[in-house]
Amino acid sequence: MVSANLSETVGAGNASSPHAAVKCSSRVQNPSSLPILSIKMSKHTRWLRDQIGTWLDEGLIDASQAEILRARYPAGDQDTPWGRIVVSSVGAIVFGLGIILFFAYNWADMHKLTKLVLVFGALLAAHGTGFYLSASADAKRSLVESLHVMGTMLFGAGIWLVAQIYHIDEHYPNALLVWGLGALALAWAMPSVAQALMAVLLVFLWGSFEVFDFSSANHFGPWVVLLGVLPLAWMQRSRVLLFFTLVAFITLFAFSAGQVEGDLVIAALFYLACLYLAAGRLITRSAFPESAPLFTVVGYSVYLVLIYLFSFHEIAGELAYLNPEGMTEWSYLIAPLIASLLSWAALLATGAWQRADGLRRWETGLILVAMLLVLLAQFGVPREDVGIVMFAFNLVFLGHCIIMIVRGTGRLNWKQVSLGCVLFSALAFARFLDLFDSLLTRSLFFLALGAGLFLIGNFYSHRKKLQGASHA
Amino acid sequence: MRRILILVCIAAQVLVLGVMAGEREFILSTGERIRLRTTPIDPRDPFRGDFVRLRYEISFVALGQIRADVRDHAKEKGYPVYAVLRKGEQELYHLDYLTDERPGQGIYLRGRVSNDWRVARGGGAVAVKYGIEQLFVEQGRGKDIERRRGTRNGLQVPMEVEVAVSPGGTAVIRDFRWSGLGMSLKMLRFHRRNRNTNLDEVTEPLSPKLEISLQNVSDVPLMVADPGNHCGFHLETTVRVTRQYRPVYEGCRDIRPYGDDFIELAPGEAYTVSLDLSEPRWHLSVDGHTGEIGRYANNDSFRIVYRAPTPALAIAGDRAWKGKLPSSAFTAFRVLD
Repeated sequence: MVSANLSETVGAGNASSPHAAVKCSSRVQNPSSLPILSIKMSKHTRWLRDQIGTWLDEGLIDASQAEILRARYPAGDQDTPWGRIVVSSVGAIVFGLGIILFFAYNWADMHKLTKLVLVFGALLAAHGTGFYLSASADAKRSLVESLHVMGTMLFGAGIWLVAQIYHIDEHYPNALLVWGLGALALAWAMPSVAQALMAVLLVFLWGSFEVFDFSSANHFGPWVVLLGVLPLAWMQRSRVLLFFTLVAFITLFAFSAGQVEGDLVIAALFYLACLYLAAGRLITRSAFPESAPLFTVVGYSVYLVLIYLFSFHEIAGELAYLNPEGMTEWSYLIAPLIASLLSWAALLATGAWQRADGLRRWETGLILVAMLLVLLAQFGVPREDVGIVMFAFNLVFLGHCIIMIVRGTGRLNWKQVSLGCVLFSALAFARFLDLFDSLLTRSLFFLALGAGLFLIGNFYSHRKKLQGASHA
Repeated sequence: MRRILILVCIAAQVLVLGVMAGEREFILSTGERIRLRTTPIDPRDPFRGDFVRLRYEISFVALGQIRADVRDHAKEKGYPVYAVLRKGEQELYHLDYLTDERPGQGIYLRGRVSNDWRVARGGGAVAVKYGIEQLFVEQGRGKDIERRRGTRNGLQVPMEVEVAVSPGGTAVIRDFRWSGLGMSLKMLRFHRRNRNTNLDEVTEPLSPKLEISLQNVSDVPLMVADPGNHCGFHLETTVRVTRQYRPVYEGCRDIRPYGDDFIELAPGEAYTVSLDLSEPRWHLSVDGHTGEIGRYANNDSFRIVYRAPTPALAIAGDRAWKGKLPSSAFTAFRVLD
């Protein structure tokens, strides 16, 4: 639900669609929100295209206008065969597990060489068949891809089975890394989104096990994901892969930062979230604008959680007490900080600030203020004065809540209004526990909060009725 | 070009598996063969079937056997180390010392520091994994091995694993066998206590009385020896203990077995002794105090170790059981494993 709301928040206002070049004679939608709609409306596009046909039949629009509208709302990648992808992937995984369990019985009567022949044979059969079919002009790409996915599954199974045959009990995360690199290499060679997704998952597991099972900071994991998978996701225009890449990178980075020095996590996460937010705005003008909401959804989710946490004195204080010692510790703080500052500088240099609508400007301003506050807490404000910063974070969070509610009400987006209300209530409850001791004050507080939410709900309903009446 | 790239990637996957298997095969055929004593434990992997988890004598290394900078990295999971081995009786190899510098000669195993909870709790040793801690067996056989290995209060028979070792210290399990001699330990008497117990006011013995049995679990007769006041048996601390204990009983020094000191055990037969650790025979000195372990050992753990007097047993030839056999670990008031 968060993603659905935020995806609209992001792109609206300052972006231009790749299809914006198409001149439309009838203005059916605020152009500033087109890029987002072109992504989000995949399930509505079919309905809209049906309606265009009806309008054409009824003479409401002519053929050229219908063509323009169809061009404006393209089908996009809505035809992604998710059913087939899921069934094929599950089939490959279950088949791989079947092979593993077959060997798990560990037949005493089966000679070691026979087991090895079966391991290698299964691997070669899957990849070989996929490779052979790919040469055929009428070969189904999904079948070829499924066979190669199965081959890579068998490669992973093979690593564990060879370990079983030779009783190997080594540093097991290495097996996940090798398996992941095998998948990543094929992902680039084919290219294949499914292989890349497998690689992201395996590299993520590798990094996570290194941190949580071996208490070892995995400095390479996040960069393998970022440099190894993100360009592929971009080139393949795969939003699914991009989403998982962004999540895996920020999570692995946080895991490693936490392992290097626990206090680094919140600062590193904050700067990376700001980097994602800036990237989400910059990318709306790129060759792959559909990816913008993904950056923003992931960035906003992390950003809002952190701003909420910074509204508590103890956690804001953590920022002030941050004191990295060595180069490694500093790099986990400085690298995201510099990347974040550069990306925001680039965004402001593009002039997007001037083109944005009022709410958008406020939102951008709040993010910049939040960044300034974090910098102040870390490097400027004396530790004993961190309460002032904490108070400012409360205002920033409140500002975001209000923007969400106002924008959601204006666009009649109930999800965004609800999210704004929920976040506002969360902030109100947190401060309620901190500030009010008297039962009378508490009761007044609840009355005021309830009345405020009631008014928002009523205003939203009123707007909705007005719009319904104007359409009628 | 793309098809060539795909072929290269597939070849790389095959090559990885090939190198994994090939390296192990090479070590199995060319590596030095040694035997290591181990205690098997039997878990089960939902995807890989039965496997026996092996805990070797060299899996826990006392701080006194550590060289170079290993002590500074004793808690650093994954830190690479080398266990330098020396040959003992019955082709069994024992730890000489543990180092983080690759030895120039001799037989050694390459391992990594692990953070085993047993060591983390005591802090008196370093836990090491050598990559040979899992023995995969056919489904159902894991339980058989566990049964043969024995239980805490019953007869325990050590497993002796044969491994091939490469010049670089990589070990590969080849096979395993069972020791011909098993040992059981029962605590016949112990003094119950709590943290408020004033040991100076206790009149009964503070140390446990143990019943130790050596049983021939092989198919052939075996000979053991126990001269003097049970001088075949020794009270030793486990590797987890950091305090330095020293035996004070002098009666076993330079003793040699004669006549009835030699005990021949037919297959299945056991030699059972009762050892009262409150007697002066078992007193130890520690931290300037001398006395029974029940008074000074606190929670420190010990083992009774049977050591065959090898030179004297030479007269028994192949029938003699040589080497040393440790019991379960115990404290002054309970058996541990």
